Amino acid sequence: MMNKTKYVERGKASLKALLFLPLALGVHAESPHPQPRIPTGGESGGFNLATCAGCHGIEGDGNAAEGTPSLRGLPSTYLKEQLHAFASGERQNPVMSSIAQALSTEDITLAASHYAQLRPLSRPLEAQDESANDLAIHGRWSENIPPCDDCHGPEGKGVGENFPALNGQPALYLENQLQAFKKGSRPSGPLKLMGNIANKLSDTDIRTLSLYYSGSSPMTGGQP
Amino acid sequence: MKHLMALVLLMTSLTTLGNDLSDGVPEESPSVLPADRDIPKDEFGKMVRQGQLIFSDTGQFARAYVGNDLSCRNCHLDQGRKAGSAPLWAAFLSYPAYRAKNHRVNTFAERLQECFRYSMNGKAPPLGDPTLVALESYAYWMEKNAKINPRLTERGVPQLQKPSSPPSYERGKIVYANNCELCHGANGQGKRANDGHLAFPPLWGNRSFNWGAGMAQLDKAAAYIKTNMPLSLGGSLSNQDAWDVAYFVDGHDRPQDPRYTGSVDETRALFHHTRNSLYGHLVAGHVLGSGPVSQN
Repeated sequence: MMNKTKYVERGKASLKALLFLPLALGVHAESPHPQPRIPTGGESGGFNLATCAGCHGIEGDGNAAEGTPSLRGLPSTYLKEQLHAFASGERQNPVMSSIAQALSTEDITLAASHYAQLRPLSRPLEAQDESANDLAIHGRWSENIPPCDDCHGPEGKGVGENFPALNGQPALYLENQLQAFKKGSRPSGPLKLMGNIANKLSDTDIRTLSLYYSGSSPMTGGQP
Repeated sequence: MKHLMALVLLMTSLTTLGNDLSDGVPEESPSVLPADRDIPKDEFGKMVRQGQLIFSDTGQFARAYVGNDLSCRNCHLDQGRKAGSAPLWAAFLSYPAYRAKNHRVNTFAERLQECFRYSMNGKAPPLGDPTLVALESYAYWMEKNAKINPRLTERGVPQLQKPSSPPSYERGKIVYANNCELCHGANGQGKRANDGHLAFPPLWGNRSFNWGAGMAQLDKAAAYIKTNMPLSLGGSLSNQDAWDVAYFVDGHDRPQDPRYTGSVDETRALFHHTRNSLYGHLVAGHVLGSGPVSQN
C-alpha cells in the first residue's frame, strides 16, 4: 500500500538535494570518471557528463528516493525535446532549466545521444492491484483512455523516438510527471496526447500506475 | 419507476444513436460487457482465453493463417469491446447475415475467415479449426450480457457523412503528417516497441491488409479514422480531414487482392466497381493494385 506521507517527505528531500547540488558535483569531480566541467550561465560550457551525474547518477540510473529519472536508453529525440523545453521554461523545473539554458544546441544533441545509447533499465512489473493492470494493459475506454502500453510498448518498455520507456522509472518521478501534465507545468507532448490523457486520471490512478511502472513491489510502498 | 427510467434511458440512447450516424462518434460500450476476470475457469473458459490470445497477438497464436504484421486488436479496440471500432460482440450478434461482398448468407465463422483472408493478408482457417472456435468462443463470451441491451446498432463503425469536397490525396498527405505519422511512420510502416513487438500497425505496403479488406474502402477507412483516430482523440478530426486522410492511406499500394484474376482492370470490374475503392486507379503516379508493393 502507498504511504502518502513518504511521498511528501521525499518531495522535501528533493528540494534539499537541489540546494546541495554543487556539493554533490564536487564529490563526483573526485571520482575516477572523466573530470567534469560544470557549465555556467552565459558560457557555452560544453556537454559535461558530471553535470548530469550529480542528480542522475554516473551511469544515468536516476535516483528513486529523489524522484530523479533514469536517462538510460531514452530516445534521443525525446531527450532533446525535453532539454529544449527545460531551457524555454515550457517544462518547469528550476534546476533543469538553468542547466539546460547553459547548453548549446550541439551540447543538447551530445547529451541526448550519450544517454540514448545506454542499455535501458528494465524491471519485472508486478500489478499493485487489479486497477493498475487494467489501466496499463486495458485502458479505460469508457473515458477514451487507451492502455498505457499501447503507446509506451509492452510493459512500458518504450516505442521509437517519441514514446519513452516508463519501465523502471522511479515511482515518484512518474507521479510528478503525470501531475505536471495535468497542471500544465510540462508540455502536453506530441498531439497533446499525454496532457489530454493525464487530465482524465485521478490521483489514485496516477499513484497506482506510477508504482506499477516503477517495478515497485506491492508490499514495500514504492521502494523498488 | 424502474421501468420508466429504463424507457427514458432507452429513448435517450436511441436519439443519440441517430446523431451518431452523422458525426461518426458512437456511444460508449455498454458497461454490461464482462471483464477478463469473469472468464469462467472451465473448458469453455480455456477456449475463451485462447481466443483472446489470438485476438491480441494473431501472428503468434494463429501463425499459419496470418500473412502480415497485424493483429485483430489493432483495429478492434479495447480487445474487441469498443463501440465504433467494429466490436466483436456486436458482430457475433449480427450473423448469419447476407453480404454483398460475396452475394450469400455468411455465418459468423465464415465472416472470421474473411478477416484472415483479407485484413490479415493470410489464408482462411478451415471451418471447425480451433482458431475459429477460439475466436467465436471469445466473441460469444463477450456478448453474453449484451443480448438484453437494445443498442445492437453498435455493430461495425458508424457511417460518416460524405465530405463537402471530393477527398484529396494532397490534403490527406498533410493531415497524415500532422496526425498519423507520429505512430504509423512516414511511410505507413507502423512502429515496433523497443522489445520488438508491433506497437502501431502498418497502414500500407507489404505488411499491411490487402486490397480485399474493408479498410481498403474509402468510406470504411474514413469512418473508422473519424471515430477512433488518433488513438484517444477519436472524433477530433473534421469529416473532410477523415476522408482526405483515408484517401491518402488507401491511395498507397498494398498486397494484391486474393481474388485477383490476373488483370487489374478485370479485378477492379469484378470486385472493386465502387467509388470507395481506389484499386486500379492512377494515384500519385502509380496504378494501385499493379504492384510492386513497397517493403515496409
